[in-house]
Amino acid sequence: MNIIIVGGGQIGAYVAEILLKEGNDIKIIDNRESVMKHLQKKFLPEHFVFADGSSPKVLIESGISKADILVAVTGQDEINLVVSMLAKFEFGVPRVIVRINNPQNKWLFTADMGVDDVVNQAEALSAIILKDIEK
Amino acid sequence: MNIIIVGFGRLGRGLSWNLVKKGYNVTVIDKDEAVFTGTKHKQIESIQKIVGVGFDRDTLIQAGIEKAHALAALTTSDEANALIAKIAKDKFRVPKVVARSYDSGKSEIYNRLGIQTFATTEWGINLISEAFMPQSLDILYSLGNGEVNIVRVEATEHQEGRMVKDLSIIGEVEIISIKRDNKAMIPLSGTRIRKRDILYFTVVSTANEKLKKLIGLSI
Repeated sequence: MNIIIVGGGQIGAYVAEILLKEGNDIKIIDNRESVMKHLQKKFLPEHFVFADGSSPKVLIESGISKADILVAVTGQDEINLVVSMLAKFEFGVPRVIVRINNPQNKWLFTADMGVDDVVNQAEALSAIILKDIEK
Repeated sequence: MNIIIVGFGRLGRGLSWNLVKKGYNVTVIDKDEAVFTGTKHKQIESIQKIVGVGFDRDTLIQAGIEKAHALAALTTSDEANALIAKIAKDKFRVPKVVARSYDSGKSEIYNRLGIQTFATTEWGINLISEAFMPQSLDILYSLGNGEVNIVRVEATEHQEGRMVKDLSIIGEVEIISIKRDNKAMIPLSGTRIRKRDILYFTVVSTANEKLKKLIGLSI
């Protein structure tokens, strides 16, 4: 599988590592220098790009036209959503998975914004806590 | 008419004063309260000010987006602007929505996603570059991000007697109006030009040099 990951922070890098071990082709895109230094230690140069992941040009150069899955996991919801819109509507990526940072923005993570699946940490966390309380 | 402006920087402020002057109800959203207290402009009292994030549903509803006729997304983030514009258009059905973008490469694609985007920096670059050319065209109005311009030229003896069609290039340069003796008209292709006519051209920016040659500004 060809997988593009926009956002190379803790979540992005962790997901990339697992996917790589499973034999997938991955490409991480991030434009933060500190993140790049971290990625350089963990990944081969062909696995990451030091650039702006919401730029259509960068996405094209990263091979989005061949991507089976795009994962948008930056720390900014507006960037994740713009990336998901581009991935789905401009480049036709079959599966788009997006991280929600601020639970208040949840209403925006819908199919008409190009989102197939969401990762909502706040909701997952509260579900676990509620389950414990109910016990 | 109710207009929402998101982002109270230089463009947002200037637009607000302009719209208030024209009699519109203007509501401004900015996440930084200091931008509202920082201005001494006399019109600041005439606008409704909301501190919040421009793509937050509660903030948008508080700003009256459900009854807004137009929205301009002018924050410093291209992504936030695209998202705000998309929400306004698709989720709240605001009839007229525009977004500003700094990166012209992004604005092209945002336009394709149905978000009308203005690359203000690109537009400025095009205008200034044109002004610096040795013989510059007198640009009255720029369309899009400067891809098409409306240009004014005063006819000299060089154009005297020539027909409108002689000064046209299909798809690139066209005379849309002539002002003669202070009266504007729409000419026919066979209309003959007189000295001192004011000619109004539309020209695609890639054909600026061709137009200059046609009217004798350059050789």
